[in-house]
Amino acid sequence: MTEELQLARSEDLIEADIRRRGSGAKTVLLQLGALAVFLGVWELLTASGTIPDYLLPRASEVMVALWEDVVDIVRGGPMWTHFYTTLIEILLGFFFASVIGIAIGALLWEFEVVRRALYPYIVAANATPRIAFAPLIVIWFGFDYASKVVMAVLIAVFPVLVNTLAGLAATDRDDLRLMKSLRATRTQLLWRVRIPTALPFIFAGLETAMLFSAVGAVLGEFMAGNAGLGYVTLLAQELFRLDDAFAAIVLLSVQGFVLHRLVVIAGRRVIFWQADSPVSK
Amino acid sequence: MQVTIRDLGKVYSARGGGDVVALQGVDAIIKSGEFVSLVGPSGCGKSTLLDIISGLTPETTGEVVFGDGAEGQAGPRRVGLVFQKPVLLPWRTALENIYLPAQLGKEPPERTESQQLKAKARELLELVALDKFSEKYPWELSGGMQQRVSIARALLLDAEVMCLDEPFASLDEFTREQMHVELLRIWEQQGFTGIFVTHNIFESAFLSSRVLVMTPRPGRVVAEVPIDLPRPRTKDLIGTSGFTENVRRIREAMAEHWAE
Repeated sequence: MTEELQLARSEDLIEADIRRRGSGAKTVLLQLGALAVFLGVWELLTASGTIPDYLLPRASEVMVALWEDVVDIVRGGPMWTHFYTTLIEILLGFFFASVIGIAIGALLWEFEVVRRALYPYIVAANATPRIAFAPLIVIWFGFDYASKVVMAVLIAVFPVLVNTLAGLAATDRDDLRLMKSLRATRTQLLWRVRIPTALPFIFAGLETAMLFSAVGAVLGEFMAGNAGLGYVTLLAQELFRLDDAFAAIVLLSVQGFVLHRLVVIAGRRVIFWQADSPVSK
Repeated sequence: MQVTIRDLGKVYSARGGGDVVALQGVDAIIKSGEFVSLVGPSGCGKSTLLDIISGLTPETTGEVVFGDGAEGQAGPRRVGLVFQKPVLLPWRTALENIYLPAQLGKEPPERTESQQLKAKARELLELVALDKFSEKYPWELSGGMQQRVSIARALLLDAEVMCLDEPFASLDEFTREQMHVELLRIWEQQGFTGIFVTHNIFESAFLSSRVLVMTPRPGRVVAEVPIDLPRPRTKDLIGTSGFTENVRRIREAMAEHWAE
């Protein structure tokens, strides 16, 4: 079982545990309370000057900046452009990472020789900090969308690839025996058993890929260009507009959270049999 | 359909030399419609024998012949296989799991035939008393129900020989006893030739017309114990002196040939 799958399962377990421990309303209240305490302490420390404002803006200022950003986004102002630029980058990065990851994973599964020959290099590539390619990527792909999407794909493709490979290899021995006893052809085995078995793995990879794609998109905006929430964060920090920087980071966080959530929800729909099934086989 | 096993042997060549003889010189005739149990301790090759009969594993020597010889190897070999675990696909409902065999193989059934098989799958669900659970997924069913689905699945393509590999070993005692009666009812209704692997002597006595006793190293059939209990059999049979006597004879045959 790969790391990503375990990670996804752990999240499910934690969420289920939280749900078990109390009513939904109480839990939400508790969580909002925690946020209030956090913001309160933040405000106190900054307003009193314990932490100087050139290091950390006041929480209230960040809230105001965030509110202005949201209003601007709704009105379709400049922040809207930044917001949706990053959104498109993340989605494109995720899309290509998914397609490429699943395709390469499936090819490696299918061709054993290729898998044996290339797997160590894939592991090595995954261990390489892709940010080191930043200057080259800008030279190769320019200042526009392409370089950001490429960076996102470079980071997000590996969890999909590795999980696809692991998922296709995860077919249960008993399932194989059953299919053999029923004289299933290779194609039938693939579609009726191997792919459904691989789906939970693949979706675990996709969940991670969405988060990684967001990281890649922001990294890409740090490298070059003049649009996107990552760019706004960078620019605001350079101009010492820390409240604007934090507001943009909050927007990125919300974006990432929602996108990740969408993948989780889609996964639960597709892999309905894993939702609450201690499947005994 | 009669199953004739002639001088059957199976050798697994272990990596780095040292072959393991799983089966040696096994001879047996299982008559059409008979219910026979293969009993023996772990490692006696009973599961291997079943795998060879059901075509999962090739034999090393000897042969397994289906039919009474007069018809030769006529007709498609229809061997149903039930495993120790139900092995149901969790993304398929009970009904879809039973229908699975119809969707596999080199020549999938034609339209009219597949309609018939769908109807057959429903009938089988009724046969195993799960007609109310057709749209349930495996994980929504109890262990006994899951195993009943897997028996129904093995019956979909008109199995004439049914191989069962310790199918009730992971069920609790109470469910297992119910399943015994259930299995005998299905067998009497369907008339297949039953070959049942188990290491449970009581189980073999209750179900079978005949018990083949096997011993390990090398795996061989060392004794044959006919079970002279009337059918149809019910749970009341257990504890009767006749039942105890049959159990004792299986034990004795085992002890005589296997000292460890």
